[in-house]
Formats: sequence, structure tokens, C-alpha cells
Amino acid sequence: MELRAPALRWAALLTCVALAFCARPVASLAAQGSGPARTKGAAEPASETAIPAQGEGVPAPEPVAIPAPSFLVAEPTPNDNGTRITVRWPRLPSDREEEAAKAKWRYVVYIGVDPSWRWFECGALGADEGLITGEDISPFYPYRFSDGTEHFFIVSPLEVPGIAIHWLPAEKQSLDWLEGSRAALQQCESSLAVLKKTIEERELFIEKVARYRPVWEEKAKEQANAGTVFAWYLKSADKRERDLTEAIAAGRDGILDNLARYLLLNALIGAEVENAVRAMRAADLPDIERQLRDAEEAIRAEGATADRYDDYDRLSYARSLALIREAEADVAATAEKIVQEVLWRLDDLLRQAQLPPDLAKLGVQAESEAETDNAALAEALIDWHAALAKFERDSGPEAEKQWAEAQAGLDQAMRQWQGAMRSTVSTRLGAGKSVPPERDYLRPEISRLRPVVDACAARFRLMRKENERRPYCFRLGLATPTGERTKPFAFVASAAARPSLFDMSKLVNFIYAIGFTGAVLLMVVYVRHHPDVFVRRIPGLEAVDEAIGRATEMGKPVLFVHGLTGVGDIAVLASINILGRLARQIAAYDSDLLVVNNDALVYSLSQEVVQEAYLEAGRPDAYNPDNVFMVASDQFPYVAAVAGIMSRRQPAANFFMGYFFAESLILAETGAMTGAIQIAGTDSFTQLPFFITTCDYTLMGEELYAASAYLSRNARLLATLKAQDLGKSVLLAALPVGMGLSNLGLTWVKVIFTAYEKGF
Amino acid sequence: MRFIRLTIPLILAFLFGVFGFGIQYVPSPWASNTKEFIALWIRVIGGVAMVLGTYSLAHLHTTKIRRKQEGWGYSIFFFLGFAMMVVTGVYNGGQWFWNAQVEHSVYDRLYDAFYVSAGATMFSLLGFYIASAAVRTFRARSLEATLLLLAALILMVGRVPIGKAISDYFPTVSEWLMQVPNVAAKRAIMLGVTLGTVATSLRIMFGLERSYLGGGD
Repeated sequence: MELRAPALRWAALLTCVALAFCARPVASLAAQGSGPARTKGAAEPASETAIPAQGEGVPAPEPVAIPAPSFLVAEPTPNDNGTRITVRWPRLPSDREEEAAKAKWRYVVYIGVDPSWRWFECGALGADEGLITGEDISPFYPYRFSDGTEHFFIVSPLEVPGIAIHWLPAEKQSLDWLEGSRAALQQCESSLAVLKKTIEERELFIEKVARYRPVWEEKAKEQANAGTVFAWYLKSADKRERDLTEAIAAGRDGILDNLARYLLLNALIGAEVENAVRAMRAADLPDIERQLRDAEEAIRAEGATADRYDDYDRLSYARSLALIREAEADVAATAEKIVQEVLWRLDDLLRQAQLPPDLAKLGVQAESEAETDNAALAEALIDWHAALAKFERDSGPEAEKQWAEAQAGLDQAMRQWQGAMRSTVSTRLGAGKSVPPERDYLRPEISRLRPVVDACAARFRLMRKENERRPYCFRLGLATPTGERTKPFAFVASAAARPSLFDMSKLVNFIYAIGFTGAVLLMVVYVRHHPDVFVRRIPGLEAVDEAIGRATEMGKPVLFVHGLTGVGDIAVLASINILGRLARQIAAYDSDLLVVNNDALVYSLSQEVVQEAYLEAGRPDAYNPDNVFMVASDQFPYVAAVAGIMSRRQPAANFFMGYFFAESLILAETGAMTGAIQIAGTDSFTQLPFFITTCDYTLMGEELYAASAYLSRNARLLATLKAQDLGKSVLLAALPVGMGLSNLGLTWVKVIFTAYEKGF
Repeated sequence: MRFIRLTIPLILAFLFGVFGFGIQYVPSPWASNTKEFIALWIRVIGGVAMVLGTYSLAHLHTTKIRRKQEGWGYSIFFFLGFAMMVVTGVYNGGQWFWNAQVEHSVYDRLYDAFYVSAGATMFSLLGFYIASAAVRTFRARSLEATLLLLAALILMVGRVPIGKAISDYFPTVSEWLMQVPNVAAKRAIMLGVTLGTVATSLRIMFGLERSYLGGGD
């Protein structure tokens, strides 16, 4: 696609427009200021704070007088989930002050759900982070291009370590318990199946060895060398039998552990439900639903406080528990029935296994059924909730200590409960008094729990979403390199994260996309009035006629080979377009076309396209559906099949079109050996050298996409090639211009060529 | 008929094209969920098409056997292999196919022992083909071919320890060849490919390119 005078004129014009654009967004966006829904910290008179002196024996850093920033702004940051907030504040008045300060302190950002509640540290600003300068404009900074006078810090509130929003961790915990109880049951079920197989394997092994053992024992006593071998056989057989027996004992212990764990998690959920019923101050589920609707209205209202969110979360959690309780109401399987069934099945298997006495002994000393203290478990849970609520609101070390103690207390209660239950189930198994269950409870229970877990997970996601979008407060403090913290500045800024309609980080990408689309449409309109479009000669496409003609003369078929990618790849669509045009020509020449496919969707598409092409060429009778076929869906079976077809059918011409991987060389080399004329087209630059080496003609990169237009000679399609030329001209012009500007120190120019950055 | 075969697909291509382009710029969970949903539908359609693909494969080999075409005996192995994999896959080591796949089952062993080994064999052929292709390419018949030969020699020598033993320049020059001329050519191709991809997408979106529908221009 050669450039000619009009194209050059266009290129020059567009380069000027693009350069003009470079300047405009920077200037205009800088003037725009911040985005929506932000709250600025109160403009208090500048105060000063100082790093406190360190403890005795430690050399005290030089106290530094630090002016309070004149403002603190928090604003939502656009990103995929809309869950981030940017906090901004000004730099010190001069670069020198800023540089001098970096060695002595860093900024620390704090987050809280309410100014009067506990504050959590989001993180400290690194020495070289969070500063936007005029020389190094971050293209993905979403709101504007700054003049380099501000620091910024981006926070995902719920990702802040330690931040606790009471009902959210509680909901997550319940979900984990539910999931855990289902997993424990599932584990019991699969372990029983594995145990059965292991027992059968052991039986078979013992039986097999029993047949040979006398001979081995006899031989082991005989000659020296042979005796050693047979002694080794005997030793190995004993070891294998022992291993299998130990595996059976381990499987049994694992089942008992999982059973005890299931019972513990079940009891925890039960205790949580009971506690909630007492605490939720609601009569039933409809009552909770009603209260929840009111609470939702309250949080949607302007200026909703943290208390309103707390109410909403509490009721959401209460509803979750009420739904779990409701799901439990009409269940045939109780925990006792599950235990009965598992123990009976296990006992049955173990009787069959007849373990030796040392392994038959249960893993846990089980002389009597231990008492499980449900009240202690419930109490530990209540303490856990109370400590979490206190920790969320109070920032003192006392609350933190209580929280850690409550966590430890709950863990301890859970361990005790599970230990006692493990002892109980072991005792019941050891007593050998298990009775068969009335019916199968285990599998239906596993299936039943799945939707309950899914529903709980959905409710958790909903709660999390609400908490991601709630308003958060931010404060700013300082820290020395040794970790000392100052009293935070008085400013409190607040913002709620929320998704935006347009991702500003992709603005440059969007402008180019629209610009290129406009260029394509303009060229289409242009060729309507000037249909004489010049496109440079592409030898690979000029040779298509020759290849088809050769195949016709020789009476041999033409083979069309697709690449390995599916219809999602644009290269496949390009090759389908080429296939359509080739098929029309081949139909007109009355030659045979074989199309091999490795993707089911591409196969269906190819069949349709070839059939239509034959129809359009006026030769529907010549179309043979058996000639378009699927040969294999994987890479090397595909290679083997296509190479076989080449060897057997000896096609006169091979077309390789699409995206290829390692198979390219094997295919093309096999084709070359059969003496076929070969034309390849691929945008896979790693495979291009192989095709160039082995094929007669190769369409490189963009030529693959241009092929359809080239073959059709349709002016409207050729116009899009001219638009491509225009795009390349702009890029060609931009390269030296960009290099020049960068060398002059104008690095902002790179912003307009950073087409896509994921940003935050 | 033309409306169903041509107009509706073109309208759908345009609408989905614009929609797919638009949601790339919407940073919301709704947009990412929608993208996932559309991707899911592609997989669903792919699953249905797989049935057609399997039918095509079976039909191809049945025809070969029926007509006793050259190499028809191999087609019997297709059916044998197909039946073996289906039966062992369904049986799933005694757990049946609705349970999770059992490890080290017959299915696994067939896959590892036959399929993977056969694939590795095919892949190993590549080594010989590369050698034969290299011999053909490196014949210094023209100036360009001579340059290519020289560059390849420097690169090969520079990439092995003996290259560094001969001269420190070999690794440096080979690295330069990889990082500068090679990357420059790669980027030029990639820029062209990117513009070509966008132009092809636009041609399809605006209905300029219709050969994928099977019809004419």
C-alpha cells in the first residue's frame, strides 16, 4: 500500500491535527480540576505539628516544623469496580522544602468509617510515590493532568488491613462455616469411597501374595543370589501390605476428623443463629425484610452516617441467618442422622478390612463420649461479636487487646468442642454399636447445602458491595523513617467510591479509535467520488489465480488450512473472508477445494461460506460438503491429519491462512515436499520466518487483513486500506516528531501515544 | 430471505460491534459482567458446534471406510480411539462421569501413554524440519540471503558459551541483533497488524465486508 501524493497530504494534515490534540487535552483537562462527588477538608488556618522526640537511649531526630497542608480532598477513582478513592493534598511550597522533608518524614493516610470511630492506617506514602509532576505526567491519572503541585494516594477501603466493619466479617465467617461444613461432608463421602477401594486393593493384594508366598519362602531359603531376590520380594510384599493397612487407618481417622469438623461448624452456625435471634430484635423473616427496606432507604439518604450503615449491615446479616435457619427447617437430615450414617458405613468397611490390633486402635483415645459444651461455644461467639464492635469504634489498645483475646477465646472454644466431638464419634465407632440409617442422608445433605452456600455467598457479595460504596473518612499524618507517628492533622475529608460511566484512563485509546473510524468512513465517502484507488501489488495475492489455475490444469485439489485460533480471533475472520473469495474462483474453475478445520465454530462457518460461494458462482451442484471437514481439535493431531492429507491427496496448491503456532513449519515443509504451490498468510510474527522459508508467497501481518479487499477489488473495501495507510502515515510522522520533542525535554508527548494503560 | 440471510446478520454485527466497543470504556461491574456473559455465550455456542465437529469427523472417516479410500484402515483407529476415550471417560475409574475426574484412571493412562506421547513425537519432528528449512534459507544466493546468513551465524555463535570464548563481541552483537533490528521489524509488523485488525473489524461492523456471510460484496 504505497503512499502517493494525496496520502502524504492527508498524513501531514492529520499529523498537525494530532499534534494540536496533544496540547489541547493537557491544557483543558488541567483546567477542569477534580471530578465529581468529592469532599474537601475544611480550610483551616495552617497549623504546624512536630515529630515527637524518641524514647530514652535513642538519639532523638531533629524536630521538624511541618506546615499543615492547606487542603485534603477525597474523591472516587474510576476503575473497573468503582471501589477506589483518591486522596489529594498539596506539595510543600518549594521543591527544596519537599526534597529536604523527604529524608525526615513521610505522609501517612488514615481511613475511618466515621470521624468519631476508630481510624485505621491505609499506608505511608513512599519517598518517590504519589507525586504528579509536570515532567512525568501519569497518563492513567484519571481526573486531570496536574501541574505537579499535589501528592495523591489511592485507597481501596475494604483492602485496608485491619479495617473492620462488624457485620461484614461476621457474614464472611458464616459463609466460611457453611462452605466448610459442606466441604467436610464432601470429604467424608469421598474418603469413604477411597477407603472402600483401598480395602479392596489390600484384599486383592493379600490374596495374590498368598498364592506366591510359599514358593517365595521356599526359594528364599535356597541359593544365595536367588534367595536374596525372593527375600526382597517377601519384604516388599510385607511393606506394601503394611502401607495399605496404614492408609486404611489414616482414611478412617480422616473421616472421623471431618465428621467432627462438620458437627462443629454445624453447631457454630446453630449458635450464631440462636444468638442472632435473641439480638436481632425482630419477630420473623418478613419483619427483618421490612426493617431492612427502611434501613436501605436510610443509607441512600443524603448524609447517611456510619450508624445507619451499621443498622443496614446488622439487618442484612440477620436476614442471612434467618434464611439459613429457614433452610434448615424442612430438612430430613439432622446432624445425628448424618453421624449415624457415616459411622455405620465406616464400621461396615472396617469390619471388612479386619485391621491388625495396633492399627485397629482409634487415633484418639476414646474411652467415653466427651461432653460438648454448646453454651461455651455460644458465649465465645457473643464475646467475639462484642469485641469486634468495640474494636471497630474504639482506637485504644484496650479494644485491640480485647479483640485479640476474643479471637483466641473463640478459637479455643472451637478446638475444645471439636476435640470432644472427635472423641465422641471415635467412642461410638469403637463400641461397634452402629445401626444402619433409614436411608441415604449424606449425599442429599451435600447437594442441599450447595444452594444454601451459594445464596449466602450472594448475600455476602451484596453486603460487601454496599460497604465498598459507603462514605469513608480520611485524615493525614506524618511518620519518621523510624516509624514514629505524629498526631494527625485536623482535616477530615470524606468520599464514597463509585463507578464512573467513562474510564478516563482509556481516553487516549478512545480518541484514536474514533479518529481511525472517522478516517475509514471518510475514505469510503472519498472513493465514492474517486473510485480509481491505487493499491500496491501484493505478489502473494497476484499468485492466487496462478495457484488455482495450476490446480485446475493438474486436476488436483486446492487445500485451505486454517490456523489454530477460534472465531474470537480477527485473523480467523480475515482468513474466512479470503476463503469465501477463493471458493468462488475455484467454483468458477470447476476445481476441488478441501478445507481442513480444527475448531468446531470455524468449521461451521467455513462450510457455510464455501457453500454460499459455490451458489454465487452458479455452481451449487459442484459443492461437496464432505470437502469441508473437521480433522482434529488439538495442535499435533491436526498437524498429523493435515500432513497425511497432503501426502495422500497431493494438492496442487496449499493456502495457510490464520494464526499459527509451532505447527506452521511442519505443515509448510510437508507441503513443499509434495511440490505444491504454497501461499501463507499470518499475523503471527514468530511463525513468519518459517512460512517465508518454505512457502512460495507469504502475506505478512497486515497483508492478511488486506487480502479480502485486494481480491475483491471493491472500491469501498480498498478505501479501508487507504485508511490504514493514513494511520501508518500518522505513525511514521509521529515517530521523528516524538523523538524530537522528547529530546527537547517535552516528555508529555508520550501521553498521547500511551494508547491504553490499565491504571489502578 | 435476503433480509434474514443478510440484513439481520449485518444489523447484529453492527450492534454487537458498537456495544462491544462501548463497554470497553465503561468501568463498572455491569460492563465486566456483560463481557463475561457474552463470552459465556460464545462458549455455549462453541459447545453446540462441537457436536457438529464430531459429526463431521465421524462422517469423514465413515465415508473413507465405506469407499475404501486410500489409507481407510487408519480410519478404523479413529473409531477405536474415539470409543476408548469416550468409554473410559464416562466410566471415570468407576466413579462415572458426573463425579470429578478420577486421577490415574484408565482414561488418564490412555491420555498420557498415547495422546501425549504421540503429540510429543509430532513436536519432535519440528527439530528436523527446522534444520532442513535452515539449510534452504542460508544459501547465500543474494545479498539479502548473505546478510541473513551472517546475522544467523553471529547469533548462533553468540548464544553458546564458545562464542564468548572466541570473542566477547559475539554475545554483545547477537544481543544487539535481537534487541534492535529484530525488535524494530517485529514492532513494524505489529503496528501494521493492529491497524489491519481494527480496519477489518470496522469493515465487518459497517457491513463493508460481507464474505464471511457467504454472499458477495
